[in-house]
Amino acid sequence: MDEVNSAYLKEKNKQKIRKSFLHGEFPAVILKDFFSKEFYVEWQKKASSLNFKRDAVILHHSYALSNIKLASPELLNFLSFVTKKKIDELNFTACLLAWKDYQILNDKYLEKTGVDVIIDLTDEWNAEWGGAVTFTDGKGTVYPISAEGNALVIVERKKGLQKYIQYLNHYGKDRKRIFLIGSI
Amino acid sequence: MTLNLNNWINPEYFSEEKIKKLHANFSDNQPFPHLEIPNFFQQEKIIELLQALSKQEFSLKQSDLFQFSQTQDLLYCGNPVLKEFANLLSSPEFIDFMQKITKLKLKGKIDLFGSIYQDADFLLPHDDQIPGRKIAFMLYLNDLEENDGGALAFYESKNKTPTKVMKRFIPKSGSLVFFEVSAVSIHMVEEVLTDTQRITLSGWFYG
Repeated sequence: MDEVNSAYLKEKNKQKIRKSFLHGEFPAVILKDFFSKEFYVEWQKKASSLNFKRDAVILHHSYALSNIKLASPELLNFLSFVTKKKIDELNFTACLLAWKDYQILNDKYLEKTGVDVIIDLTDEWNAEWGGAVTFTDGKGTVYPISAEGNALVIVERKKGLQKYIQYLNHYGKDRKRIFLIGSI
Repeated sequence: MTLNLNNWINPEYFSEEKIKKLHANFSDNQPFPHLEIPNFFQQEKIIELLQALSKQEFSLKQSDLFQFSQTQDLLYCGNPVLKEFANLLSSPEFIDFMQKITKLKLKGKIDLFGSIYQDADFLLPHDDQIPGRKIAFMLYLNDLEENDGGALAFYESKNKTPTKVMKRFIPKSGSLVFFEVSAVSIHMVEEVLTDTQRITLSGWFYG
């Protein structure tokens, strides 16, 4: 089965993406329709049937988590190329958001610098429901990452860049949002 | 009691006996010292405040922690009703009243904002701690029902870590709620769930 959408494996496109990631004002790329449809649907199903465990620290976060092993050599090669880092393996955590879930900034939970890789597994998510992973430089600039199924997001968290998850409001109360997140 | 306070506050709250009772309740209330005083201000003053606030400019405030609309600090607004209210709260007489109830040393400095929470607005759990803040207060200017959401929720804590909601206040017009700001004064405003507005005047007393 093809894993990554062949358009992203073309040399010209990879170069463009790498340039955008390494030299953009906000060090991030959002790649829509990243995986082949077959691969995406398979992982969407796998993620939906995971055994999620509720995880809450009131002053920092509320959501459910599960471990997941997403083995994709094509993905790892792609990430290595774009980030210019040697990535042999990448562990992902599956995060499930439901109504009232959130993650807020907290000095006790500051993240070290690194690269976040987010794979969105939820289709037809309305931004007005909340639940977006949002990066902030702590000086008033925010970079919300819109939820879109089969999007791959790569963000370099340079010094000062932290992330939070927008509160999921009652308009999304009948829905759940699942995404995978891994850090390099 | 000055003429000024008499115009604003229901006189029953200024008897020595009442103040003693309020102090006892404030200190004993769980999960952290607080009071909810219904009908504290004269009803006609609540209406005046609401009308005055409706003429102020509100800006949408959004962050990881909250989403609601707020005015600028009302200490500097030109509206005479709001100015009089701010002066009342920071007057020596009212500060003395608050000191008698809370037994906290206050300076006379306050912050005062108008806030409106609308459908899907919220304020996630936090403690309000900023240097100098001693008491957080909120005056509700309209009624909400349980199904509207927008309740003020207080968390109980174990070893200074919040565990669960212990107390909730559904906004009722004219009700004044205030609490001692500390590492354990963890509270939130629950999401508003209907097409309504939750309107308050709120802020902090400093010490």
